[in-house]
Amino acid sequence: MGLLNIGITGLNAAQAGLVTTSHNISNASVEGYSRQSIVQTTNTPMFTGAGFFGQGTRVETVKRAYNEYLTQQLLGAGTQQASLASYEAQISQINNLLADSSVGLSPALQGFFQAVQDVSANPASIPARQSMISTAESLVSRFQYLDGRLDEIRDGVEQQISSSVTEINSYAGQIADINKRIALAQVGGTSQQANDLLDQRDQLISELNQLVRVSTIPADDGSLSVFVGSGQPLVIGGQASTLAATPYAFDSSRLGISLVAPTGVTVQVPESLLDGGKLGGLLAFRRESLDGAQNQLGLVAVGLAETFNAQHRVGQDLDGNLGGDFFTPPQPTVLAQAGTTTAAPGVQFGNVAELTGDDYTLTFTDAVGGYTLRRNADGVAVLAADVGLVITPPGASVVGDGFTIQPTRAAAGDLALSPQLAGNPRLIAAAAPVISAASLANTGSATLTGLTVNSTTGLPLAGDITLTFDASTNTFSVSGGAPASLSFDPITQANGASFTLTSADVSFTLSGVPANGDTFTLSANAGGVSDNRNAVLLGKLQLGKTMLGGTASYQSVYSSLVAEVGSKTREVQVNGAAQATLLEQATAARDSLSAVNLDEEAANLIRYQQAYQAAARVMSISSTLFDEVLAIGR
Amino acid sequence: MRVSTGMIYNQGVSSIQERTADLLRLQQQVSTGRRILVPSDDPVAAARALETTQAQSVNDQFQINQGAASDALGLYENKLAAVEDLIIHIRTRAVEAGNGAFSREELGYIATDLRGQFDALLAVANSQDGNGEYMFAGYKGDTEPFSASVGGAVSYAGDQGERTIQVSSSRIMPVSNSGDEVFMRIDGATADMFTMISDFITALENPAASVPTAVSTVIGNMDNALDNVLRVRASVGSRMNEVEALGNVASDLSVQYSETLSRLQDVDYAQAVSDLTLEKTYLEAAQQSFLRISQLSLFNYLGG
Repeated sequence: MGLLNIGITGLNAAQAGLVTTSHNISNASVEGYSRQSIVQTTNTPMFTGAGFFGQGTRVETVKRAYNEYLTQQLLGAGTQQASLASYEAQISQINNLLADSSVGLSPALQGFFQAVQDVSANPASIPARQSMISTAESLVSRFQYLDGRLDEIRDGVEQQISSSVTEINSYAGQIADINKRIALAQVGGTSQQANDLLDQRDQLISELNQLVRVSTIPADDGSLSVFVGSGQPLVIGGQASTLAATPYAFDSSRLGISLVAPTGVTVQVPESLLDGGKLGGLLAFRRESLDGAQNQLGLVAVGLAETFNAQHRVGQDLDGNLGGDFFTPPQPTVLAQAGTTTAAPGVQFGNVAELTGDDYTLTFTDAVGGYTLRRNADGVAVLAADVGLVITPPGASVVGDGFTIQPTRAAAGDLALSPQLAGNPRLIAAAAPVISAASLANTGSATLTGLTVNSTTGLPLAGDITLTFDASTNTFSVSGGAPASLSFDPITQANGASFTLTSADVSFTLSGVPANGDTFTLSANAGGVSDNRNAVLLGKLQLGKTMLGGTASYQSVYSSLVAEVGSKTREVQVNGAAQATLLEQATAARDSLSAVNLDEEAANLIRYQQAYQAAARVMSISSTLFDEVLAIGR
Repeated sequence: MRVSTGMIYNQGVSSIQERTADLLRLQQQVSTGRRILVPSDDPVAAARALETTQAQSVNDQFQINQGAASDALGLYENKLAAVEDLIIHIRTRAVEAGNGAFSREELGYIATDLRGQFDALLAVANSQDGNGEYMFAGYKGDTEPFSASVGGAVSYAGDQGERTIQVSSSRIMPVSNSGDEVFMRIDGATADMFTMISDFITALENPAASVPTAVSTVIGNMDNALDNVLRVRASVGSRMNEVEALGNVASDLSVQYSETLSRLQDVDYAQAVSDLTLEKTYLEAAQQSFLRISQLSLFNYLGG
């Protein structure tokens, strides 16, 4: 091997170095590109009696600056960050919706109750009544607006779930494809790596990971298998399965994720296993925040409608009739699960104080309407009455058939003002249907106070109910009502004793010392246009703790919704910021190793240029030497 | 640590973006005057602000209701004062009539005067308020409560209902007095106010009647009637005082709620403006340092 040949090996190696360097420079801005470098080594030396003479150099391989561990770290941080970012993008919409004081529920709620108070102060005033109806209409439309926005957000989530699935499938196909090309390229073994293809595949996996968390396992042929969830295969070698967005059995309006194997078998992947990435964020948002927010808003609507209606029904309108429903009461949503043939059970609201924002699953356990009710959030079996529901199962049922019950999900959207009342302000029941009177002839000091109507039982009164005191027996005899007599001992009960009649569901307090023959009369409230007793009670509902087991007012249920959404948004933002920092660090660690530094490449250019020049010089010297030899012959 | 060219750009841009986001937030806070722009800024304070706003709105409404209660009670106070004057006048005339020197004719003049007073009292008892509702009819605001005439029957068509206004979270205050309570049910007397006066007038006009007996009866009755009106007036007066006291409490509360709201959601301007200046300096530093660093390249010195 001569000088010329050695020079050529150097020249080739330097040229390879220059080529690789320019490849790096050209790809400096390609996402996921790992810088490449040549691995140069000495040729096998030649043995002579004088020892080993070097035989120049050769390029063994082109390798990429790559570290499996750093790349994995980057994937983990990336999928988590994408998940939090998509969660944040969604929940911020609710956060902003609730933030705006002009569109939030609070001003409408306050405006409505101010109008109730105005009616209470001027019960006979038609303008005050009209204003109560107008503010009730704006309250109802505020509920509907908020619920409508949440519905829009929900539709957006469902659409994005669908489109994410399409994107995931596209990535799965590309990865399967590139797997084939890598296997083909590296058919001679993995000692010579198809660097650029490997980079491209890593980048595809990184982008797929932005959509959903995946795990990978390399195969001997250089292909990479990709799994989602708890190991459901998405790509095996050159074969890709597909995901599909399919409706859940328990709620056909809700999309879940199914894996369709190349064989065509479809399996729904449990939502809890699909975390990470945009899809994971969307699913978690829908499950953790959106359902809860809409249920909670509905809970306020149901609580308001049920308690306000109940009070309104025991009042009396301006025409002297018992009050009707003020709001059209929302009904619980009952969804038949896929395959269920049993007739739907009747589901009504019971005690509103027991109601929560939870959803339930009803499953029939026998053929005659026996069932169990489970809370979806934790799977615990509950009694309908304990959660504020009244369930009337059908007489015949199929064991295993099920219904999903969403008591408050649609309530805010369904809330409406009673149509008759909306058109006639006289129907507002500001008065109470019963009045009391003490006879002018009474000579004792007894008074009848605190007359309260508990329910519409026995109302309107068919005739007067007269209580007449008999001092010899210390009883009030009751004529025109039941019970027939009420015991009242002036010595022990002069400070007041409460009584409730059974013929009409009214309560009152008797106090003082009645004289023999003193009478009190309960009668229908004829012409009581200035009576505001029921309006006062309606107004008091604003601050009444009628909800969540008697611990919360309408406003506080709404406030806790705002606090929950605010806290969750903050949590997601803080975690997102932390995750972004982690991602930045992981990216920096990976880039520090793999990404191109142009200054470094400039230096390499000079280095290989000089190596090239030196090798060329070797060849020119070899040529000169040859000339010298030729010159000897002249 | 090895640094790639991309890292220089990425980090430069991301730190500029972070600063810009901070700056934007501060700018929003300063321009809106609010510390809490969305609930997530401070979820607990945001929820408390909602509760406080409701409390403030309810308190405002109670202040309005107190005004209405005060107006209504003032009107009753005014009418009751008129009733009181009429009773005192009638009693004075009765004392005059007791003067044995008066002739039948002179007694007739007194009777004529008292007929006028009777009508005046009836007019007061049938008074209507600003909304046209009869004040002394109980709940039956649309029904004229009293019909009476001298020598005729007296009837009360109202009921014993008490109109109320909620003037604080715990106080529902009666703001009316029924005609039954003021004119009909008089402790110690056997008749209503109109019958008392009517009987006296009839006696004065009846030559056969004993004037001294009628005078002593009506004076006793008028004293009882006056006691009754004074009792009702005292009760109205004490409720007016109560409303005024509640008004003071409500004003104090209103100030407190405003302060609480301000503390919960308003921005501290001094702090915010100072932060804004600081952030601006940071942003400018980030921009300038990025420009300088990004201009450095070995390629600037190669070739040529």
